[in-house]
Amino acid sequence: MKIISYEYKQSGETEWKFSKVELRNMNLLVGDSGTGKTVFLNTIFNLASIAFTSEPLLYGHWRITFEQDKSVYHWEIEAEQFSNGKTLLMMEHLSQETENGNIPIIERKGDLFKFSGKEIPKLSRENTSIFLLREEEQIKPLHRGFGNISRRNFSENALNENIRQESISANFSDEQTYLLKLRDLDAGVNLKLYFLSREKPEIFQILCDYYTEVFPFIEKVEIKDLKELKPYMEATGMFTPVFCIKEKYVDHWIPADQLSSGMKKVLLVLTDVCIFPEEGIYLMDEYENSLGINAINFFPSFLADIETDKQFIITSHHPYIINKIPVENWFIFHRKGSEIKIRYGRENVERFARSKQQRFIQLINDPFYNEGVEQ
Amino acid sequence: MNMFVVVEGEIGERRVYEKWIPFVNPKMIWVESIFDISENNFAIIAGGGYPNYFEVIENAIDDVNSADTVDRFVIAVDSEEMTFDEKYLEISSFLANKECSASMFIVIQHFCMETWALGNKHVGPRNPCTEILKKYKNFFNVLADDPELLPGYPPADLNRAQFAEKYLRATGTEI
Repeated sequence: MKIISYEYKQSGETEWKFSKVELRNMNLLVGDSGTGKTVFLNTIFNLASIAFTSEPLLYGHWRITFEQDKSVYHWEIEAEQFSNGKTLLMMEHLSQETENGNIPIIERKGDLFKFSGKEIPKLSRENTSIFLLREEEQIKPLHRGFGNISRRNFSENALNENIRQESISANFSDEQTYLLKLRDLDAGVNLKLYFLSREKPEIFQILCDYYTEVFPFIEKVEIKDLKELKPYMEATGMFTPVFCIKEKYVDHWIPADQLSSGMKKVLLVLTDVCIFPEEGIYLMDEYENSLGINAINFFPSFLADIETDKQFIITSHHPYIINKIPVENWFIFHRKGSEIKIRYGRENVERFARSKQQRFIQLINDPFYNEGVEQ
Repeated sequence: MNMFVVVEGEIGERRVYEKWIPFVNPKMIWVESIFDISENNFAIIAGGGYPNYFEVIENAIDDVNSADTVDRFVIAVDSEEMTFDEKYLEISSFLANKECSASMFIVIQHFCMETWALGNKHVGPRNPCTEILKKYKNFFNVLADDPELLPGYPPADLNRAQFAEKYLRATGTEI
């Protein structure tokens, strides 16, 4: 899936309103603190959640145009919260762009529910049509697409949860494979990296090269079986892959769960970028927090080297990241009250190109940015 | 007359100079970028603090030369822990071999812009109400003594620039 354009607003006067924005493959959200970048990411992830799962609806009005399996769809959805705390769907339109114009797929207003032009029995207004009709052939790919929108969380719990050790049958069949395993976004990093090393060794090598470049004190990295690290463990017939590093001047292997949080974070980002499905959308908020300068700088060049076609929507305040990501990919946030204006970086390209100043310096001197939150 | 100013920090000084320059010379009109300058205009760029501003100054000179509309290129930075003369020498040495189509001026804010603000007799701590301002005034009275001589504030481990900022904030809360 790729988001082509996105718009979100809440109905109250004091509630969030984001102007419509056309997104690209790489989208760097920049703006002063408090300009709404994180909220913007949250609203995209919330939409993905209510499309993919039966999680309670969140209220708001979304308009999104996206591409899935080379078709373009328009989806508009409005949900309202009532005084009993329940949120119900008020309106929903889903259509597909074709050579003959937009063909409606879903039309929903109140209790009226039409699917491909035919009225269908009353269905719950607490769920979106993409979730309710996810088994229908027409809807299945869209449901899968929204499931591929992922938001990376870097809390300590999330890091530890992702670096967990998981066992698989030692004689698993090759068909049980890569795609199935890798696309299981619930799998931990150790398992994902094991399958990556088997199925796409060249990508695994790029990942390892970057990792040792970011942390030059690492001599080598390997995927080991937990039994090798803990020979006293009883044989279970299971295989537990563990990503391990060997540091210079240290004579034992260090498993991923014993790495520093910065090293875990970098490993997680590298793994995400390599493993994430091509049609995936990856949301990431200020990954530079709590990372050393070497661990921050790798990201833009890594993305360039991996030549990915995935869609990234990330936020950053870091000069290096901002300088390295082309101005065309910036989205500059500016907030007045609850209304957020988003200016395209491409509008700054010509002006910025005239100056010798670094792009980041020009950005922080742009009044739209440095007066990002109007008083 | 057109002017381009590099200031030390990010936002604070920019806002002050943006108001101050037209206050001193009402003909001067602020524009967003050096490339918007035409007649009686000035633009300001923030240097991002020491030592980042050296790169900004260097690139600003290139921009002044390519824009070719600037008469005065002004660099306004803090001396911080240096003496006025040491900072002036540091900046002038840096500029010594640079070719700039505009006349270059160095403004040393000794030792930071907050120090200047503390010298404003209209905002000084005449009758401090808060405990913190009373402590600061007892330690160093900016109404009686030259704020440029303000020392650090050992009870809170503040150097003189940090102390000047805290002092100014404490004064500001009483206006």
